[in-house]
Amino acid sequence: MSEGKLLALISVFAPLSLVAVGGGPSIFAGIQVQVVEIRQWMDAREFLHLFAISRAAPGPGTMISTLIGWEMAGFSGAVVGTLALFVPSSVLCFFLMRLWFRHEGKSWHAAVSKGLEPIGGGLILAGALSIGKLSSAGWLYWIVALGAALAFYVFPKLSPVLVLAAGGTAFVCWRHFAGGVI
Amino acid sequence: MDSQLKTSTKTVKLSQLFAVFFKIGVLSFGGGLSGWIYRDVVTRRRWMTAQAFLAGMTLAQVLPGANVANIAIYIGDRIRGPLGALVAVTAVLVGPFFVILALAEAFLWLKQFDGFDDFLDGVAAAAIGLLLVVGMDAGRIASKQVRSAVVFLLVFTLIGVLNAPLIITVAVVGVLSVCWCLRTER
Repeated sequence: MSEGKLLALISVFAPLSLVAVGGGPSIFAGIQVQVVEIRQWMDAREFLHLFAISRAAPGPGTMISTLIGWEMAGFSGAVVGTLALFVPSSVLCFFLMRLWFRHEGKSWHAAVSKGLEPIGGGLILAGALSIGKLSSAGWLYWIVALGAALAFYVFPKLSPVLVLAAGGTAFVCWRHFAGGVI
Repeated sequence: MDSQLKTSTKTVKLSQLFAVFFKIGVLSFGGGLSGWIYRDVVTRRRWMTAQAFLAGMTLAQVLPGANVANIAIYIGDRIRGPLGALVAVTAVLVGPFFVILALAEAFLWLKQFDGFDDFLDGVAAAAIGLLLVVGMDAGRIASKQVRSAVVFLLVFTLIGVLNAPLIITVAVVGVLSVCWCLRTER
């Protein structure tokens, strides 16, 4: 019964793990599509909340799979979700790294490196858009998002937790004190 | 050439390796992580040379997987082989694993308070903003060359705007991009 859920978690996260080029956040778009749109494990707002928690916590930003697993199947789901996301890429990484350094200085090193670099960047931006589209909130959403982006751009040393908390506070204030409907 | 990348002659204990990466994992709020790791592994403990570290870091970012995990695997492998890689990557993930579950439970409890849902909505919005910065920065770097700019825009448009399936897109564009690179750098 719950094995089905655990297997489902693996089938979602393991393949994505292998294409998370450029780091964890690059597959957010893929995770969102699978979890919210295709399999409908949770609605958009719930996903966004899990996303928020995963970004506020320490550790790699992709521990959203831990939370999704938790949501789906408790502690064992959390474990499976984490392993499904990290084991495939880790194993691949281990072997590819050894291969890479065994052929030190080969001319194709630069080509592979430079070739894959912009993909990670494009994925991350796509992920931001993909998750942003999930929100039903209107202009306030984009004001906070852009405000946070600007703040971080101008002051790169700002604590991310502070920025996140500020965003949260802004929403609460607007919705409760200004009576905003967004 | 490999001797340059060899670690110091003293063997690092697995427990030490675990402790260092556990700390890194738990304290890894936000960015600047590589700086922390560098300070600890290269400067303070001299477990490897700066050169070796940088080589590994660049590769860790390009290979699939969370950067932190890949870096842990690289350093762990260099220091104590496959077992070291396993210990390091487990150490860096286990702390955050429990913290994030504790946070989830705490937030669940907090949800009873009016407005907490709104707070989380706001946190999500801000988190997207932070992702935007990373993405835009990558875009700025990519825009310096035609090839990288094209690949960047292609990936963003296909996946972010047109909702193309991620895995296939990355595989195809990845291969094409690398081939393009190989052609121009011959």
